[in-house]
Amino acid sequence: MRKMLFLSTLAAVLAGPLFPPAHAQAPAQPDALAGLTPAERAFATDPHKLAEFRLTPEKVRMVLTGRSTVEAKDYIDAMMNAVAKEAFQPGDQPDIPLNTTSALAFNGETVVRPAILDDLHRDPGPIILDRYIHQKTGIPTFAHAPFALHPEDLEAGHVEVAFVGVPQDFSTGWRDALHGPMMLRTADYLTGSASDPDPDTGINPGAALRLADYGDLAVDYMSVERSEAHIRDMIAQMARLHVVPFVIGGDHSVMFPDVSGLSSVYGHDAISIVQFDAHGETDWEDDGHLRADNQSVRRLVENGSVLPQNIIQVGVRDGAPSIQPTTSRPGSVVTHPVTELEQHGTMALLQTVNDELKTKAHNVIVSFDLSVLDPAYATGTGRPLPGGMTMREAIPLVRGICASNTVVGFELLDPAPVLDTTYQTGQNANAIMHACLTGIALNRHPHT
Amino acid sequence: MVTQHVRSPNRDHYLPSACNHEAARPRRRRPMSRHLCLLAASMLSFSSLGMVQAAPVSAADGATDVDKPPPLPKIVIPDVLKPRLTALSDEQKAFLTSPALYMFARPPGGPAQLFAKLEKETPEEISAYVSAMVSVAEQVDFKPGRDPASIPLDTKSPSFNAWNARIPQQLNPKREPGPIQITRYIGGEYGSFSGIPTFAYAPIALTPEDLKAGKVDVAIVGAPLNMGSGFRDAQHGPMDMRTSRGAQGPWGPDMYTMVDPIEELKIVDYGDVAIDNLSTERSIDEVRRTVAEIARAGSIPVVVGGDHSLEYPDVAGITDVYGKGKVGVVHFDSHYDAWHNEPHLIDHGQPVYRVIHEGHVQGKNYIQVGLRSRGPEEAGFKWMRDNNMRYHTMVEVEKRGWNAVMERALAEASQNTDKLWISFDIDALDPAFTHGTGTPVPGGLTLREAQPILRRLCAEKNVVGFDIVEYAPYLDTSYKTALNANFLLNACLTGIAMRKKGITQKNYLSPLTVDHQRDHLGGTSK
Repeated sequence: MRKMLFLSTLAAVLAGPLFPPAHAQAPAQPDALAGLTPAERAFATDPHKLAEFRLTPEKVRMVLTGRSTVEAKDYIDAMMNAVAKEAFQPGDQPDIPLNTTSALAFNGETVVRPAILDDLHRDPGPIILDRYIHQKTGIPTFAHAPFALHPEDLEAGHVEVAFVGVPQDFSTGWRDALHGPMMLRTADYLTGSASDPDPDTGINPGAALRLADYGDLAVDYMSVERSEAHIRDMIAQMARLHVVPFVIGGDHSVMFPDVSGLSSVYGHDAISIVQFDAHGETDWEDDGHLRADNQSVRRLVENGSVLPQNIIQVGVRDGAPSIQPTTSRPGSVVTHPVTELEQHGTMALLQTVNDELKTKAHNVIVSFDLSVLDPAYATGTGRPLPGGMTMREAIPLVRGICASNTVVGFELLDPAPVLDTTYQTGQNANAIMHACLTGIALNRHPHT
Repeated sequence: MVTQHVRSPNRDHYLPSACNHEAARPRRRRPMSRHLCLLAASMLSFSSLGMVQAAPVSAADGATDVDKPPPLPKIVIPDVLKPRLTALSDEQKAFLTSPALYMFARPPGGPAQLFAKLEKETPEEISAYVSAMVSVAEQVDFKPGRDPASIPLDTKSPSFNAWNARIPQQLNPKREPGPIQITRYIGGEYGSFSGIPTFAYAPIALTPEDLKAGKVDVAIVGAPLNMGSGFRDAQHGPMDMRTSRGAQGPWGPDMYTMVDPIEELKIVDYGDVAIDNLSTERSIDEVRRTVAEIARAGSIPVVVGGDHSLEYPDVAGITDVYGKGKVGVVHFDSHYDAWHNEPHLIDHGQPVYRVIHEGHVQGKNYIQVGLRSRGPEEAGFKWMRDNNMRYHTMVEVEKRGWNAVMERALAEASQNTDKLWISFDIDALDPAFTHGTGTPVPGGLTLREAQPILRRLCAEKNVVGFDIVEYAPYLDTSYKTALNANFLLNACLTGIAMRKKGITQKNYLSPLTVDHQRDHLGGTSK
């Protein structure tokens, strides 16, 4: 909201000199800002600062016309004081305290049990939980894939792609991402039984690829920050085992630990991101928080996990400038808004993105926030935005990118089942993952 | 051999506080598994052996022995195993007899079963096994330097306090203080059926001056906190309570009492409290300030949540005004909400603990009604008893019937205090009535049981504040939860109106509506 105002104000200011408002040519009136100090005057004419109060220099001038100097100063000073107080004040709590003295199991929920402590011992490797060859229901795993519990299972099974749920639920919009992984395990159309090829390509990713469901990672439902280290470490461990993590969120704050985990293994300058998202995730209005869904990309760039010139955003339409100029990092994010798709078509955009990726870092992470789809296709997401992609645009784009590049990570973010009373969001989310899996299968096993 | 305790029929009697449960505890972020829990509890004892450096608990924290889990029985290594422990270091050997072992030696077998298993392994295998246990144990407890002691914030951010920055009133036209009328039509103060949605069709107050000038009796304020509600959506609670009013409105008196709270009371909508939905800790200070601000202006604060973490800043805010220990609380809930010893200092499962722990309300003045969730174990009930709390579970309702329990709770409320806060979690009701809530539990109160106790508490006692929490609209695709929540609020508003009119006698019902009095049942036989 604040950002939208900022942009509209900016547009008004830019348009100002070209199209002066009619009353600007009216006979000169006494200057409404005459009695103000230079600082007050600067504030009263700064569209950026006034935008927060839904004001423009023109509106302020209109309001102050006819007021006394004392009244005018009071009006401007009140806003200046309010803005000044938005920064950290001495006496403000600079952090959020935790119970370090009497918490039972402070880290208990994220400490992993090593395989040696399992009650019963077995050879490592993914376990098939289905009973039948053509199982349709039963224990729900992603894509009916066998279940891997320990890293030893991934290693022994030479797993190429492992699904892992991260049910973090802190959307700055509406919430229910904590049920995302559960929904997508039970929804149709990821990949079914062994005889289930992709209709467009004829390839069956479920048969071609060595898949596993790696379960869910534990998160702290009261803190994005406290979940971070564990998610990052688990993702990095998967990457070190040459597994492509398919991360199922969870809201978009999962992107930070996922990408930083992959970055720690492949190198910060060796990863690129193709981000399908209605939102840039580069918010600067952070309310003092260091982590949140809407600032994931900004923080990844800030802490050097990824270079901004290696980020391609597709479908962004929330009006956010991609990376604001204040960032100290060089380069800039490439953005393909939905309007570009509208003008040039799906195949042209796919060609453009794939061409761009040839000039960027080799290892590609495909990040898919369900908000990139029009709410007609994905109602069940925390920050929906009308005017989005259709499934017929998204499927070939995702499949084409995953087929033509070395994909080292995929994330499906911000599913929120309770916001969709139908099966639709779940089915479409799984179809998107299916599209990338098909692409990866084409890339890795072209002769299957 | 290990002690006989481990094999006793009541195998769980040695389990520490948080571990004696078979099922998930719905209020927690996620259920802590039984064995993790055992380790956690044992860490305190483990620390006392000098094996783990634990930060001292200062007296200022007010931590009492009541909050600590009971000690675990001593472990003895069987003689037959001892010769096989040659590959172990002294530290590893010591671990085998430390309470931390209980995490890995779960009931019913306990340490005996673990030792029997190790007896069959080689010294090297035993060594690998024990070092895995030591490594896990070492990761679980808080370790200064390794684990962040707090969640950092970006103090350099220019928008650090943007979330609760207030709009300067200079931006508004100058006006006389007092509630702002938002209806257009002649039907009176409450004459509009639509338009700007406010609680109870009430006019709006923005400042304490508005409350004072309007001699406001009740200020309803939203607090859309949505951090710890199990399934989430409490952030939309206040909005939906405003738009689906149903109960309060210009529709005449409450039939049970023939008192119309809308006519009798000056009610305002005080807007919403600013909430930082990425931090309960940061949000609660703003709630506490706002509750105190309303009370100091002479109005009764009614807080519409938002999740039940709000009970803590609500009660703390009201005792900031009336004094610590001067207010009692009636807590309606299917959950006891007194969890503690968790990494976070506040969430929707801990407000009762924090209120009592910090001394805002004495345990003997805390009355809980409707408890039935799976969760508090023996230790939880012991904690409540040790603090002299008055809990009324659905177990008691099953045994004695609702009327008896209601009378008992009414008699206890304000037994020792002149003032009362009511905290009403809508999951006290059965999900049949309020399924739009984050942690529903079947087997709850009916609306016809909840309405009279709320009306009577608010009429017969000096209620200085009320909160209704945990309404999560998206979990109910119908209007039902909103309608019922608004009728619950209306029952209390009716009680407050009765009290203002001087109707405070026990169990008052309108003689006009309770009976037609046209036969012998009504006392006449025309």
